Amino acid sequence: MSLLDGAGPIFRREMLLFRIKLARPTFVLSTMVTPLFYMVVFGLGLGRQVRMADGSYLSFLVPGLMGMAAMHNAFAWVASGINIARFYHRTWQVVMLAPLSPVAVTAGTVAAGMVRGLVAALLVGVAGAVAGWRPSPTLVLPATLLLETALFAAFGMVVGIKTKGAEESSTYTNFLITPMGFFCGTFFPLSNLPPWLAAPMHLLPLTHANIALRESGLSLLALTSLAVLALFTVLLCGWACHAVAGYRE
Amino acid sequence: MIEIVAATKSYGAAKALCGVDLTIGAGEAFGLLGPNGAGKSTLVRLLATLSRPDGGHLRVGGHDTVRAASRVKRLLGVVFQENNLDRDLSARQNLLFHAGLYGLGRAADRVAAMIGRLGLSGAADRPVGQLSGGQRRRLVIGRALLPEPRVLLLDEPTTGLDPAVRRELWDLIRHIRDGGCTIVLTTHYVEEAEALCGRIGIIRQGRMAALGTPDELVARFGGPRLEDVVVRLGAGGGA
Ligand SMILES: Nc1ncnc2c1ncn2[C@@H]1O[C@H](COP(=O)(O)OP(=O)(O)OP(=O)(O)O)[C@@H](O)[C@H]1O
Ligand SMILES: [Mg+2]
Repeated sequence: MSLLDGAGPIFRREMLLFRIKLARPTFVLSTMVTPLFYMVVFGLGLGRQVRMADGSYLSFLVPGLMGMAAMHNAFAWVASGINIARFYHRTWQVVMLAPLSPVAVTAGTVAAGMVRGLVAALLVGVAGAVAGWRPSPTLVLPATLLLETALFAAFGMVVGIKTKGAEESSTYTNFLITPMGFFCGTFFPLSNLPPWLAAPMHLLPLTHANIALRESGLSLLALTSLAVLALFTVLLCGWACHAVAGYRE
Repeated sequence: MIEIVAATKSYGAAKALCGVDLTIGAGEAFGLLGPNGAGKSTLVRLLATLSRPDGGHLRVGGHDTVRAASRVKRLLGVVFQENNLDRDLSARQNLLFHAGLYGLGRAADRVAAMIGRLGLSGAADRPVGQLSGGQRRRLVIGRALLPEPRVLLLDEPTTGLDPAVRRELWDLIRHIRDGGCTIVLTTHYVEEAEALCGRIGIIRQGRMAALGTPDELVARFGGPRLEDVVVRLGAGGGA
């Protein structure tokens, strides 16, 4: 048995379920509605008054909204998916009873969460492009989104496995994921925050995603933030493996 | 094939199992009867490696369910009390996923053969959510059989099904038993245990209240029928 045996089937099953969701018209709407509100309210409403050092507020906002959508969707798809599979459909138990390595379970699940997060970010990017945003032609943005979705999908696994129900899971969304969206530089640069508040924000992964997403090339700043994201990805995937290995009822 | 020694398990203050000893031989079909909340499903979860015992130990095929869980998993097919299927996926997709998890070769052929054996050919590509209760139950049993397990754990395989479907499932289970698979089956239907199992254990409040063949139990506890023994022991009499 190789370490990754079973990762493929887990991923393909998630994709089957995701395709069924994608086919429902409500899916695209519900994925888009919050970022679109932000884009209209902050970007087109407030944004006309905001002067950024370089470029328009929209070009600042859209990458941030892509990062936020990537985080939310990768995390929520995995965390709530595992919660529902554990307590409602009880299909998580099927995976736990199969003779698989925790690495395979983590790899398949995280990869599926990444797809979900990347699709959401792409939808926001398309909406932003319609509104006039132009991405800079580098690989920094996709690389950032890949790492960001991986780390939040892994965190979603930990939360989905460790919590005792959907309610406890939503606590993490309300007290960790959503606040990160507001304080980690999605809507305004961290330099606008007082230093005592800005400094600890640099410990959070979304801050580094936001930094890298707005770099137009492989600058030192971008590389540093990508390295931090990679470190988070490794640590959280390790934690997810550990959670899978220790799963008992 | 199965060896359970002084197994205990609590959920908070509730003692689900308080010291169960049980040995089941290879190829044996063992029936577990007992009232609601007696601890049947808990015992199944322990054997399935899904729960850890608080005390004692369980072995399947000589492997400890805690220390050698992955070896135990390779021997087991498990059917839980609930139909844990992906309802948005078809019967075929559910089976193919399972074949993938177990790394089975020629998965499409095996799955097609299983669908035929389960009599689900007409419904194989509809979402499982649209199948009848009996079809779903057949499907979860068939899924457990797909990797050809040496030990099959069946937690209330026929609860809530009509008599005709129940007979069909009995035929399926007999067929598996006659193929040499070790079976542990929990049920509330005394006639089911009598029809399928050579030996029966009656569990009450997490303890094995009685153990033996149907005839032995009737002789020891006074019948006239096995059902009377189960009711009496379940209520706390006898032993
Ligand atoms: N996850 C759990 N959390 C808390 N208590 C539990 C849990 N699972 C089982 N119990 C308790 O353990 C005891 C045994 O439950 P179990 O499900 O094993 O009984 P059972 O014999 O399968 O009953 P039934 O015939 O109703 O299926 C019960 O008192 C039950 O309330
Ligand atoms: Mg039960």
